[in-house]
Amino acid sequence: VSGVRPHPPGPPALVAALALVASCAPAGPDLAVREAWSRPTIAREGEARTAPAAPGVAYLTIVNRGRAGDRLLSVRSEVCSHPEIHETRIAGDRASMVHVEEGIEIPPRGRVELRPGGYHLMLIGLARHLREGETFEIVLEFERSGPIAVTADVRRP
Amino acid sequence: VSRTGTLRAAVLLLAAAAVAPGCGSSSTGFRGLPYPDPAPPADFALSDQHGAPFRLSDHRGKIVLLFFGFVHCPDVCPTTLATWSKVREQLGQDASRVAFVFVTVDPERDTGAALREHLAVFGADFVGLTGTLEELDPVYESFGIFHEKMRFGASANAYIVDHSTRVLLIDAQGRLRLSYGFETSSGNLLHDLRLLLEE
Repeated sequence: VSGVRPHPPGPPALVAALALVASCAPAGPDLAVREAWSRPTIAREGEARTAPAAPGVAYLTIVNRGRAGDRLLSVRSEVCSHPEIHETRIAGDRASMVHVEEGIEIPPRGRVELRPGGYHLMLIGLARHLREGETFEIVLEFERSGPIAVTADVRRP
Repeated sequence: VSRTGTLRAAVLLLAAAAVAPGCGSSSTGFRGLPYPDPAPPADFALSDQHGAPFRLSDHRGKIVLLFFGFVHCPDVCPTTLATWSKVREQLGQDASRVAFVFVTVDPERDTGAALREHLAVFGADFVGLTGTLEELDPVYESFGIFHEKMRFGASANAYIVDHSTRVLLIDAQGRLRLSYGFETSSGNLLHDLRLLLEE
């Protein structure tokens, strides 16, 4: 396959200049994604080596230090084919899960927590089990800031 | 701030403390929501995760915590079970006087084996109950449990179940006594269990 070759490293001045430009990008550095974690999946009889049938879940916190709002549009991850942004809504005593197709608004100088009982990432179509102590990557796609990758720890709450 | 102002503030604080001694506590001293007229619920018999029969009335003398959920539940059920794990741990030896009972709202997928493997992660002695729809429906009805299957994909397995989230507490006398909303902390649950264990 004649793919695209990586560029050879440029002269130090050019690298430094590029780094400077990158750090001045309008919204990228304003957003930080923190405390990403996911619950371990549970191996069922006969499927210990294969992928779990149940979806996984991931939680994280998005902090926006910028003056402009942003929007989390979608997510992707190496561990599953079909991650979705969901929200557990509890009305009275009933919990229902809503697929949040419009994404999540990230207010200027604000923070949004994806946490149990609220917004969460539902990891549908897991390719493998998630075991306590492991980590995996999630890429969040923002309207303004573009993609931001974060490492999620697999752990108990 | 004037002296009278400070005094007034202190009096107000004291009054507030007297009226509300704890977050969410009621006049009964419990953190959970008390049933106004505690009475034994309709008895039921289902199968536990090991295939053994479980009859509610056989557990008189123990406090029974009841929660209705399902194994494939990604968010609400593992949150509640993780809270139970903490409570169970903090109860120490008194844990043997409390039954932690998880009743499925998804009998199609929640076989004994599925419940066994799932609950083992949260508490070795947690009880998982399943049965046929004919056996489960009256239980849901008796406790006012809502459940509705929601699909999120084309495959037969691609569904979740919207369901009631309250934890129900049956006291050692077999009376449906208190209930707890989703996200009740392990501390609040533990507080009430300790009060009831002293009764």
